[in-house]
Amino acid sequence: MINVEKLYYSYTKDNIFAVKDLSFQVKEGEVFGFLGPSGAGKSTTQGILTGLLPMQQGKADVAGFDMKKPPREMFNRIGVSFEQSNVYEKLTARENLDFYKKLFDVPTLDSLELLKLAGLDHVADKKAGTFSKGMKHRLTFIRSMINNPEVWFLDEPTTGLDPAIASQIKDIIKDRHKEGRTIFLTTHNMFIADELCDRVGFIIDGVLKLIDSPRNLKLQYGEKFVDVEYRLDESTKKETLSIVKEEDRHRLNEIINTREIELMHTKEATLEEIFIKVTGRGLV
Amino acid sequence: MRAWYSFLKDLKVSFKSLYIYIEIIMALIIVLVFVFVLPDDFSPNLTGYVYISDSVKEYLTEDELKGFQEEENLVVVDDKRLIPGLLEEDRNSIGFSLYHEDEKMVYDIVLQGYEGEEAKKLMQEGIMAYMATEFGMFESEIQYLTLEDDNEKLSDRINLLPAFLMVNTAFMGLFIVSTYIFMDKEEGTIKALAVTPSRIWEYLLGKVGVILVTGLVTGMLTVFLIMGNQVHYLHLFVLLVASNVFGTSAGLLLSSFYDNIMKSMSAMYLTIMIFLLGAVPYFVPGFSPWFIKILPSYPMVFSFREVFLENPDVGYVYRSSLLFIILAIILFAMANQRFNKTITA
Repeated sequence: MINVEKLYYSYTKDNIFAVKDLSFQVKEGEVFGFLGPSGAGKSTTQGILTGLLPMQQGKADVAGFDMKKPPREMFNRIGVSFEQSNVYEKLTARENLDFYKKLFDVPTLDSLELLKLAGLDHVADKKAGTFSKGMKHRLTFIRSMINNPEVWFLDEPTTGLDPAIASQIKDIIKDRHKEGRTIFLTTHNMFIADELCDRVGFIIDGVLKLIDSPRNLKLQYGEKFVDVEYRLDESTKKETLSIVKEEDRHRLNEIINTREIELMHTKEATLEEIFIKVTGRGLV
Repeated sequence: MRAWYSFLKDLKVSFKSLYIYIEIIMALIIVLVFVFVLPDDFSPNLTGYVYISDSVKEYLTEDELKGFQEEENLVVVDDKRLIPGLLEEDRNSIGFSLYHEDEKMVYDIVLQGYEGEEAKKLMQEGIMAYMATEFGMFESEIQYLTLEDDNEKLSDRINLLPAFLMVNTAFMGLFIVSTYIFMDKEEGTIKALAVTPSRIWEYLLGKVGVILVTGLVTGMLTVFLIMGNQVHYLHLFVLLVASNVFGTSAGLLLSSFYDNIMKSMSAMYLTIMIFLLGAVPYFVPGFSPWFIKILPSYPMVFSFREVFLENPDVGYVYRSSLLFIILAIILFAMANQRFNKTITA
């Protein structure tokens, strides 16, 4: 659904590249997470793939459209949610969506239904300018769904939202994924990426360092140990056991069968830890 | 169709913001100034305070003396020492004292001090001619010949309206459309539009429409409240549309070169000042060099003048309107091309 080949982009139109030699594919129905710290080149890549930035070097096509000169019709098939809310503050939430609906040539979703989905139906007729940051973000988010896009670009969809709202947004993304939509998710939040993405790409200083599924990455980079805490003689004991060694596996089995387990967790690596291992840099 | 939706949305946004009301209120203030403050004739009503000595009075008949006293704007005083005080009270006045000395007619002129050399000379010649005529030394006969026989004149008050309409409809549009564009850039809504099937020209056309409605409402309202039905409204409508669309297109092109309103200010100011130069010959007919005549504002202000005349040069009005429309189309196309490259950069 998205094909990128040897993509370069320079804001200064010289040899200082914001992204360089970027190549990857996103399959239809896949949630692809584009991960990296601020200034890594995530938004630049998304800008090129959504036609907001012109193509300079390399090749890219989205939903079968060449991004060298994307036709306006392409935008009937994609949706873009921005990191910064960008709604008409003088218009109500409903007016914002109703105006946006009219710009598409394909069937669109009902404004009120979308507002309900994001929990904004009770403020449908209030000016967006009176909304909190989170409410504006949700309005920007649901606006990007209005044309039921085949390819959905999400830039930091949960950043700055409280956990309850972030969870609501994640549920909407999961539902769309189940419906078979292709989702390109740009974020620096590894937990979101871990939860939502089929595959992730790590980008740093404009270079794509690695692409794989979160599961494979954890298997490859995680430590194969289990921490277990159990009751013994009125006190709590803690052991770290390998899940590979035969001896430790028997010991773990024994503890599970004979002791009262208080805590037990695998020591798999988080995506953030893997990112640091791979790139040598943090995510902030 | 998308241009229409964009226009309706922008109209809604502008009605929900203060700007459009400020412009309507400004238009109403202008109406009040025109109707209640400005006189029809701006010529200074100069008062002359005259002292005529007894020795001079001897040469005048009773009727001539009475004529002096009944002269409008002429106040005969009994003591020449009163003149400086009267002049201080009334800054729009001059004083004369006439007396006879050594068989010569002597006249002193007391001035305010702001009069130039040319004015002094003109006054001297005028007084001499007046005196000579009054005292029967010679009779003057002056014939006035003009180059244009049908030189229809507007009152001084109405004469200001064309300049106001030019500034209000064309140049305010130039400035306001830029503020709308920069506001959309700042709010990021322009990016949201850029990822829809909507085209840049549809977006820009929506803006042109909103500025046009504002310009037409304020322009027509102002003229109607000041002039009533003494105007050729069809000609005025066509001219308002053409000049407004021209100004807005120029504003679009200018704003396509800048990221924000602060950076564009100098260019905006310079453009408006250059365009205003085109109106100088309207107020100073003696100054109309070619480089001013080629400015679009030159035919604009004179075309607006025509619609207020009883017998307007309709051909001139429509030729000018056509010129503004052609220029507007060219400027709009250039702005569209530039915005296609820069609007989300």
